[in-house]
Amino acid sequence: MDSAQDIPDSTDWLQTPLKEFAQLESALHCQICKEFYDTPMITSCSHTFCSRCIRTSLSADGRCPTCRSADQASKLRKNWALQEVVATFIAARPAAIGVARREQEQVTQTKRPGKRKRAVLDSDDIEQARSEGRNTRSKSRRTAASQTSTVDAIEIEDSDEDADGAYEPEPVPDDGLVQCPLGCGKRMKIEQVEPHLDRCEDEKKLEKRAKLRTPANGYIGSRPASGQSARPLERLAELNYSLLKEQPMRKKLEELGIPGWGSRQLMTKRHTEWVNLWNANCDNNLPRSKRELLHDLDTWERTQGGRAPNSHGLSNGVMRKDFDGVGWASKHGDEFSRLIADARRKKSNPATASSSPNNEQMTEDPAKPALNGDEGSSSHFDLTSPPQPQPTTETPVAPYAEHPEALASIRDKVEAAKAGEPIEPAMNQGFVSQQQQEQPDITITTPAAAANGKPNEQDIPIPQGSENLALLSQGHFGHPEEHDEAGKNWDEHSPGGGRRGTPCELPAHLHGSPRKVPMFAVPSRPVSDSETSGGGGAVQ
Amino acid sequence: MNSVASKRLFQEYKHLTTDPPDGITAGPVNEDDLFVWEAMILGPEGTPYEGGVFPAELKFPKDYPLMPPTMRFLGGVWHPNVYPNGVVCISILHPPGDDPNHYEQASERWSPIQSVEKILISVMSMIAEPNDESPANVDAARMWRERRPEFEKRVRADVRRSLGL
Repeated sequence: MDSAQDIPDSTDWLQTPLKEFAQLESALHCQICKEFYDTPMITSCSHTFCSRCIRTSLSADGRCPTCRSADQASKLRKNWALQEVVATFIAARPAAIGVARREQEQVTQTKRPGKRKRAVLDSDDIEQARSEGRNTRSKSRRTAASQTSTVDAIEIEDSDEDADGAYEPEPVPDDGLVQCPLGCGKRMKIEQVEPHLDRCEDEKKLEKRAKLRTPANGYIGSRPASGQSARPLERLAELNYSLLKEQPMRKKLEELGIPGWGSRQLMTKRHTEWVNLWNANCDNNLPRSKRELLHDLDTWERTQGGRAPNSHGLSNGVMRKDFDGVGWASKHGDEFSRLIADARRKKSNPATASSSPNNEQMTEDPAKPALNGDEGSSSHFDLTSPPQPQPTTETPVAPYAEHPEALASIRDKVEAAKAGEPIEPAMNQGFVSQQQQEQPDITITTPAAAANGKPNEQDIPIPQGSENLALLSQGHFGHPEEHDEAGKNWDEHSPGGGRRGTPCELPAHLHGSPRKVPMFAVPSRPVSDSETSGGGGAVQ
Repeated sequence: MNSVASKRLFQEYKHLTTDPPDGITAGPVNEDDLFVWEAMILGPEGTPYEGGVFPAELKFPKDYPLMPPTMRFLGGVWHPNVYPNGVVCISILHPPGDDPNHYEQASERWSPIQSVEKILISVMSMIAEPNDESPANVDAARMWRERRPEFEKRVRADVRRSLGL
């Protein structure tokens, strides 16, 4: 997604005088992936798709996506002609669109700075285009060289009848020579024809074989052919999955060199994916190495297979036994340290921090990973911008000076939960108890609340905060409904004072040992408060 | 993470932004997650829905384009083929294969060659011409069939309300 704006698209032509090229280009697109045909294959109903696209589609559905007639992957045939058309079009595209855009700029006579004159393709395309370009040039040189007397050898690719037809309109040079009647293109003195005929057929065969070795269809190996030639590319057969028991299937997968873990269903899906990948690679005249294919399979695994993020946002990967915890920790280490620093900063400077906790944000936080559905690498919260102070008319500014710590701590919890670290409820309870103990302090120092005689309104943010903690400690993530329900419960209970914090009753001994709280920022003041005020919501 | 699905969704997104069909806009809600889109459909002209703007949410499965997305109107639309909760019931959004109820032909159902653009165009034409054979909202379907003026009146009122008039 880095080259976001650089993906070539048929609509690129619409802003140029060559609008019709948009249609030409979309005609060269596979209807499944909507990109240029990659190793086009023709079905028995004469529709064409990329090899991998149609193979995946057939294994899911067994029907041609266009006309829905039943078809099998084994009946697919390669569409060489189209492949060459696409390859040459891709090679010609950057120059063509560059010319078209320049033309457009001259027409409009307006200078648009920042408008790129050249179409930029992503690196793959460029690489491909280069190899194609090279080949095309060399081919045209060859054509030019042979133009005078013969037809370019490349056209023998076509069937012989076609080739014969093509020769007829060719103007015969007046050099007193005659052309080989078999159509090999050679010209010779008339007396040489007879002996030539004997050899002609053989020569043609040799020629063809030579061309197969140096691919004529526009593909010269731009990638290293590391041991490619040595390995025979045999297509894999699909298995009859319903007949295979789990153990033999696992063995089969491991024999193929692909991961053999997961349920039977997952293994079936993985094997299907691998067969499609592999066979599509066999169709390609520039086959990739098995390692690259395995990489593709891994991508599949992370997006659709067993490591795909589940709907709750917590990826299965984190919960799996062989999850790379160390790797994760090192990858996200600076996140944690930043969080700690954040929390410390807020603690040392409580007055500047937000007094009205952003309730919305707090309630949304646990659900957020679910929306992202990412593996978590990019789905952490925007911690660089802590909630801005939003003094509202209802909430006075000062009394919740300690609250940002609670917020920060909750975030830490969420991070920790995402990192798969076990969450000790004791920590929560300790933290909660301590919060609870600062509660009386707050209600007392809240003049507005005291005046209203409605301290409960002020209480609401804290129960929600602690409620989050409680949920986290129970391992609930991404259940907004459940969450809301619990929230209501807590609002109901909040006037009760003493029962605030965790869903279960707080054990009394926890009140006595608030020092055991090893969370990042243990505020010293509330702790001493608890000792002086005697702890608990009894004061209220 | 460049899966087949996200690549294709990005391709479609780019196509839709540079060359959008009339009366339709669509794109991912958040460019980090290409699997949730929001779309806006204008009420087709010459129908009671004319002038209305109907926001909808499209959710794509991980194996898109093998399987179709789901589509839900965010405001709720009074229409025979839209469930009261806003979910759109249209054959192009039904997974490939034969309809167990034989209401629709396999050729009308989802296929990987379809696209977001085609879905939205189909939905737009569905809004203009409801199909009351297999209604999603039975009450709306009956009203549409039996009391057309009342149906149109209600739809117009909904459109006005949604525009804040």
